[in-house]
Amino acid sequence: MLASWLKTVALAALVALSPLATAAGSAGVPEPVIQKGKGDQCVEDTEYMRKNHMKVLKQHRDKTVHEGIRTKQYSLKNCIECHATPNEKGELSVLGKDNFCQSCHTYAAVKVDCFQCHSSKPAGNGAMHPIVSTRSGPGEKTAAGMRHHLSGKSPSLNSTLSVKDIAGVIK
Amino acid sequence: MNNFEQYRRRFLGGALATAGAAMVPGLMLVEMAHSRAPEEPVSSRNRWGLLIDTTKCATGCTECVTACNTENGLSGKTGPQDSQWIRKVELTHKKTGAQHSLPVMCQHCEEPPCVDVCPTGASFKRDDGIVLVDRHICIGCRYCMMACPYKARSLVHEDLNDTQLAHMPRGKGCVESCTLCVHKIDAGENTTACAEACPEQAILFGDLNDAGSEIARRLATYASKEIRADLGLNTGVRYTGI
Amino acid sequence: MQIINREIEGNSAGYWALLGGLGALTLIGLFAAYNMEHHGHIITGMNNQIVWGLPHVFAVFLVVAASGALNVASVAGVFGKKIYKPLAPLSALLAIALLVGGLSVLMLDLGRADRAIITAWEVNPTSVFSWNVVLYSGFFGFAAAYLWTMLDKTAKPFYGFAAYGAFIWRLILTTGTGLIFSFLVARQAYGTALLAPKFIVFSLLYGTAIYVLVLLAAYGWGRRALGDEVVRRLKNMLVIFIAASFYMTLVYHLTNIYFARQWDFERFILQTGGIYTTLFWLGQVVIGYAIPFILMVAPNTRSNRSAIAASAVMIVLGALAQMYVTIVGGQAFPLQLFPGYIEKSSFFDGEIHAYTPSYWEWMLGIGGVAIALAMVVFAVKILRILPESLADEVADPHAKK
Repeated sequence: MLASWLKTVALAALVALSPLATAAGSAGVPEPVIQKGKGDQCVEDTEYMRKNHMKVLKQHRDKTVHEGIRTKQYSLKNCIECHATPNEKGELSVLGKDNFCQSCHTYAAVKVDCFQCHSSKPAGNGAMHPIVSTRSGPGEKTAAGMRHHLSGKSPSLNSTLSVKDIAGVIK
Repeated sequence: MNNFEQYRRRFLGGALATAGAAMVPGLMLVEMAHSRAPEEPVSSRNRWGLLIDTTKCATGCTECVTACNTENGLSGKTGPQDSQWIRKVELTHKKTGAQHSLPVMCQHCEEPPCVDVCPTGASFKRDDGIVLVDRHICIGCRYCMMACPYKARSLVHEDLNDTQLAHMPRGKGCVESCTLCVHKIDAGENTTACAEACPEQAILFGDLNDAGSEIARRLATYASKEIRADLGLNTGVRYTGI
Repeated sequence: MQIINREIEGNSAGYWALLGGLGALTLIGLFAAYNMEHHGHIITGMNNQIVWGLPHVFAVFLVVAASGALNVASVAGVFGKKIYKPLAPLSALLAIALLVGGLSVLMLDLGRADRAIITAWEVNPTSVFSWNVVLYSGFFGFAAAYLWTMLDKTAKPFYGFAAYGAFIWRLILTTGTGLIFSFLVARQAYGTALLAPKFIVFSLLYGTAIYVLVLLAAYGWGRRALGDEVVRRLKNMLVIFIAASFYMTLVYHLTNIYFARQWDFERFILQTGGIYTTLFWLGQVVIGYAIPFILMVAPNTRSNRSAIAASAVMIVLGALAQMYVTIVGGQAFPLQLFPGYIEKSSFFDGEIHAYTPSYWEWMLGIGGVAIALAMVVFAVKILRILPESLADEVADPHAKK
């Protein structure tokens, strides 16, 4: 049983902190910025896509990988072709603070696994950089930095997106 | 018109018609090769493979390796943790000193050991014979890497940070290997990056199930072998000259 | 005399220090796993040539020892040796704890550990790993049921079913662990059916050795009586298991040496392999088999509790050495793609593959051991696992069988 003075303190703290909660609620997470992509409309209407895009993508991916069915309607690559918009660096992408996939997913606090493997940029962009070049001098927190620290070896693979850019989405 | 003119017209007409008729089978074959519609699944009607003539393969030449790296967005680096989907192997016979050079990549076996051991079925053989990794369900256990007799598989050891090419998704923690340029085959290009790039045309791509294809005819004519034929895996990649 | 099981008091500074220390090692192990997941395996020493490294050495050791730790309980429940009955609850607990430790390391080392759960429904019937998902889960069930029938009088009717079930299940499980390597046709170290029974024999040795260490520690630090009779019988089991393990090792290498195509591999392991040769001869054979065998057989030392404890420690060290030689050594020797040829390539064909474990791998492996031991240390405090006394007059009179 809590001592009565302790109960008073706890109650007071709760009352004091509650405005903070409501303040956070009203300030809140920034609402998603939905930049218009290419074309007039998506392959399905908006409400359907909001509810089902994950299901649609999941079913289609198995057909593509296992059966070689590469129809464009539900292809992730095709989604990116339309929905990629310029990010802060000026590249077309669906990742980035105000870009299509990331801003909604950050708002909904749902991690999206796709871009661990899939490029977030439309096909044309990728072809411009066929072989990834090396760059030295990573920070401590990157994989390369860790390795550098522990084994003295130099890192590999550069990126035009930093870890911070895609934080909260795939990290 | 005199008789000769009439005769000439009839002759030319007949010749053109015959030539046209002769071309039709060729056009139809080309049609059939491109005929898989995008919504049609692959089938075991085709079995894609490579025939590599090692006598044409030059020691020190790595054009196929470079082409593969470019095509698939690999770094091209050759450290112990870097992915290599294809490599040139230089052989020297221990007793005779005979030398050979040849590229080794995933052999796309008919009975792949990597498919047998994968706990999730991520390592699988497509109906048309291409052995692939479904990276959506790969958990990165590396059992397939232990099982592969050809050391064909690589693990992606670090974040790729959105440097992947749009047509070739690959990611940290998943295992990968030569895809026989499945994206090119599905697009109807019917070739692989390595076959296209070889300056000596040592690598021949084709449909092993099509008796009329060049690869099938060559396999039926010349002696060829699989690497580690003793394992009975019936690989899709064959070699001549060793 | 009735043997009563009682929780240990667990109030001393020593107890909390032990639990705290194991907890700290566990946290360090989890920290290592976090880093490996976050940065990728690039921070480890594992690479495309040595794909299973130190974490797997620890994990397979723990899993193999887990099934063997149930041996003491099986001797009581299946083979009816009454003196081992009071020892059985600790045996079942240890089996569960070691398996948890081993599986933790295995699952945390996955390239995509977040996807480990999909192995529950994405099943490949030809994959030993898929079988193991079922076998390991089933083992938990059987061992837990077995422990329950031992602790709860009302569950006694199920004792026989649990005991036999756990025994048979454990044999299948250890066979499954051996078959992981047996089914790899291409590597010269593996691809032999002998690995399955070899792992079963090893499991008996490693599991019983860990059991002896835990028992000696629990009764020594817990200040409870542990008579010489119990210790003598466990020591005799260890002696037999060392002999059997040595036999399995001998047959494996002898057969390999017989085949011309295996000479290069055997020469590598037995003679020219550097660290692997040292670990095999010094680690596995001398420290793991020879010295403990001599200590536990020689008249001056075989009744000496310190000598027996030291032997058990050496058996464990020998076990780790054996796992390193089997798992890492088997990968260090290159695949022979073209027999008769010297191979050279950018992908390390034809060369002995290099491997240096990183700190992260040590942290993860030791973390797994710590998880297992922490579970045991905690469980003996909250459950009635350990008999109050195992003194000779308590344990022995009802034992003649």
